[in-house]
Amino acid sequence: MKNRDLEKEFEEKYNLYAAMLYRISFLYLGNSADAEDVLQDVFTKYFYNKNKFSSPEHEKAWLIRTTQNACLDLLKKAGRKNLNLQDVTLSVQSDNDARQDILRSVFALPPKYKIAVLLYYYNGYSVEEIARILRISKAAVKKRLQRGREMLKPELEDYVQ
Amino acid sequence: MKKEEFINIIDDIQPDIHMKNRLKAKVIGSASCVKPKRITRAVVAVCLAAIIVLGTGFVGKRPVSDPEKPTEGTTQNIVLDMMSGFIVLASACDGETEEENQTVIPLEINEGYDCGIKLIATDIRGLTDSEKEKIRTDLDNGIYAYCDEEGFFRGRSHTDGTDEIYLTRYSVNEFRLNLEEGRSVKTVTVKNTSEYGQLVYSVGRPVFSAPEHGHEIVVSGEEFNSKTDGFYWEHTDEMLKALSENNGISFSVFNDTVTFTVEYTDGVKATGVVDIVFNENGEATAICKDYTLK
Repeated sequence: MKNRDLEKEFEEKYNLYAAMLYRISFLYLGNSADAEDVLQDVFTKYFYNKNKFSSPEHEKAWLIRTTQNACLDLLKKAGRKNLNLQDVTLSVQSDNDARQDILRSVFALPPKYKIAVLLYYYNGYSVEEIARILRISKAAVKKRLQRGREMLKPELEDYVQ
Repeated sequence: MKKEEFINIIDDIQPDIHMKNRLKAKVIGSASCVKPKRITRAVVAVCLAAIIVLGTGFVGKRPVSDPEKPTEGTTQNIVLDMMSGFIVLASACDGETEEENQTVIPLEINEGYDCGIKLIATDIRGLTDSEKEKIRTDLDNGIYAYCDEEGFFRGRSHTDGTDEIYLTRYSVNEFRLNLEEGRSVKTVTVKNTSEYGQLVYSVGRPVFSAPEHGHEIVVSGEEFNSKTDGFYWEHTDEMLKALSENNGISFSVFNDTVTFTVEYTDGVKATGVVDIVFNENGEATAICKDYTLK
């Protein structure tokens, strides 16, 4: 594939997916440098593997799963099970302490609950859609959402019920 | 808090405006590498030449994607391309049963990496000693990477002991277990049934210690880290031998069943079974029993 075609395709896919994948990575890893490394890895795999996706939903699911796996791989290499909250660089645009506090609560979730909570409450996917994306059962999705809710701070109770 | 407020908080997480250009430069630069590594082409070219001259060879089960390579049905096809991916179609996690007065719950098993196993058998029979030596040296130099039209692969080679067939494995499939929170693990046991496949566990071990291979692996709860550890499935030397001895071997012979059993200290046991099934083209699929994703 010629460079121009590649650039065009990259622009298209970046505009479609980068923000979503960046958020997933940032929530897993806590800093923009690592999140960017993951996105580089994911987009490189996307262009290398030339997977034949049956639909845009299939493509999106592949990107989400690959991002999640890349984040877990990075955490594994660093010898960490989850994000170390002390390392989190909350460079998000927010002066509101409550919002920062809520963000930290989400950061503190174990990885598998974090992705389920993000896909459900932020991206608006259904339980069934999340099950297809993550290749787990619906019951597992429900369990992760329940556990995620239980672990989130009381500030979120009004919203998540 | 309202839903919009939660969404706004997550919305605050944004990449900087220059990340697009940085990634474009790195990704496009990498993606323009589409030529196969010389060694791979050299291996195929040399083997093809040898086979044409000598009239012998290892008949492949299916044609490979490279149009320069010979097609199925000819004796010149010496590269057996056993693609491809494990796709976990199901993850058992519904229902409980009682078994010998012990609660047994389904175990949640997930695919750890979204890449598959690709096995390529390279026949070096009929080559000169120096040609064989060169191929052996290149393939034995550990993990190497190359790009081709189909993608990016990283592989390690294994021989059948006679140095006549090299089976190169690209990528691996890892299975990760999702364990019950709040329960303490006593043991994790993983078994497989086929002599052509084996299990590998290494993540929990020190970096330079040998990974554990076998048809049954038992890991103590103290050692096993469910959040980062996984088990790999890979071929055995028996598979290599079967490929080299039987050109027309049916891939279904390599089918395997992997059973995962987690025993918790409170007496609860969790089990999961994965069937690894090869189709006639050598493509492998991993299926978790008792559940189907819709």
